[in-house]
Amino acid sequence: MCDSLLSRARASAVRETAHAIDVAASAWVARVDRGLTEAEQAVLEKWLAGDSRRAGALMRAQATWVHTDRAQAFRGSHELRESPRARFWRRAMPWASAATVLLGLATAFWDWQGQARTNPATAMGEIRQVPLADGSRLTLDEQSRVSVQYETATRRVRLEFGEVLFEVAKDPKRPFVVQAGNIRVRAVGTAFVVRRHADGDVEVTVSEGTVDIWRETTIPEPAVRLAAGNRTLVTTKAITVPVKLTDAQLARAVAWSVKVIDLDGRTLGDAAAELNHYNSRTVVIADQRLAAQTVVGRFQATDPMAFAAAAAAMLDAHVRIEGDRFILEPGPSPQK
Amino acid sequence: MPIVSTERARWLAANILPLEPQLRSWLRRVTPPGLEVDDLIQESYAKLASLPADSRIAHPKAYLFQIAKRLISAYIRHSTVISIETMAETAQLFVSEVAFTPERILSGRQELERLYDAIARLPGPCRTVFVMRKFDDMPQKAIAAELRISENTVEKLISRGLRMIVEYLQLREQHGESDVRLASVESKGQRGA
Repeated sequence: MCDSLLSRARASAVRETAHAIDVAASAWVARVDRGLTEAEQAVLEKWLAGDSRRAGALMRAQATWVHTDRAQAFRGSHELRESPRARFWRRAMPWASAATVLLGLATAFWDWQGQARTNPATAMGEIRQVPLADGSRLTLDEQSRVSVQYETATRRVRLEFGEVLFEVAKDPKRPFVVQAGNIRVRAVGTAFVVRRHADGDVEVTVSEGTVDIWRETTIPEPAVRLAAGNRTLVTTKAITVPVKLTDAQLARAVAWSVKVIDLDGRTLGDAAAELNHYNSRTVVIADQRLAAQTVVGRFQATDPMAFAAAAAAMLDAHVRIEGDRFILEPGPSPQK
Repeated sequence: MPIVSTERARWLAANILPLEPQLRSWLRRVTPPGLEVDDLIQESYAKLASLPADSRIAHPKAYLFQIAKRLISAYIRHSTVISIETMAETAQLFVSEVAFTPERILSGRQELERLYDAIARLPGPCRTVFVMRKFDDMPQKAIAAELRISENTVEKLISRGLRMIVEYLQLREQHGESDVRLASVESKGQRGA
């Protein structure tokens, strides 16, 4: 494949453009969608064999086709639906007017907001942060769903499935209650992870503050208090004895929710400033010219050391550690 | 249907499509003269498509960039015309991969907004067919019967609509990048301001 890439680059005058391949790939996806005949199947295979880029273009078009399934979210949108059968071919304006698009966007945004307030969910591989009106924040791990029901007296969130980190804003008058089946976890101002297993068992890990756990049963049951650093498993039978986690175990328990800073061509100075918001140990750029260089990559917001080391490697600089500060200076390390 | 696996497409849609703007903007910076960004992207997808459908890739982003990087490295190795400067520059940018971590946070809202925009901009006939196919889950045959047009026309409209959506999503990506590109060009020379 690489050889073909090279030879193609050399003979660039005669090769098929990426655009032409993309157009053909879309046509194939439409044919696949309605079902291929055996003859077409053979033609498709021949087409694919002709150029290594074609399989990629087809895969990408197919992925986009699947991606548009998400448009189901706009099913109720009259803007997108409007064109009825009768007007099918007689539409004067082939393109939606700017106003329609804007209105549509506003509607879509509103719909989405409404949805986020009631039951945000995540797909496979997706992690999502959901800020709530009171300043609390939910971080949903992949394949999770909650339903948020804020009432005047109580903030209720039902965990339907998956795993969620709850960072609860303090409000003693309005307790925050997580429901997972008949299991309840109540907090005032704290951070904790609730994970609902497929079998209904619920695991609760507290990283800050305390929570009360009980089950809604016919016979009232005393709540069990769980303090920071502890984990317990609640089954249909009982609330098991809490286990004290080590710091490392606790860090692992919430590791999936760690904030990541995505740098795509921002200056090193900007990046360091953003990173420093999250940490007591700061990254200092000693040189103006260095600070203006651009950096690319994903960094954990809470790991300034890794960021400094990566930036140094990228930009021909070195890191000098001075107390709580990682100082980036231009040029190779003087020790070398 | 061995060629287009829906499962694989779903995985790509969730894990790779959202990364494409980043890959594209990165490729713009590292692609040596003689190679095209669009070709590299298609080749990268081709590599992903050739994986067994059940292979689990733990870090899609690192993996995707690794694929693109290998394609470029192979080109540089085989090429006799690439200058030392290009090699050094490319090698330097590759170092940034050290910092890639597997975490990925998507902005679901931004993605939906983009998608809405793309559909809203489809010409009327394309959009009608598209909406019936995707919102109402009607097969192409049923759409043709309902609209009293040929199945062939439905297929053409779907193909065109999909093509426009792919293109629109790309345009948005390229537009968003222009600032980044300027910034990196500036920082390479002496800063203007």
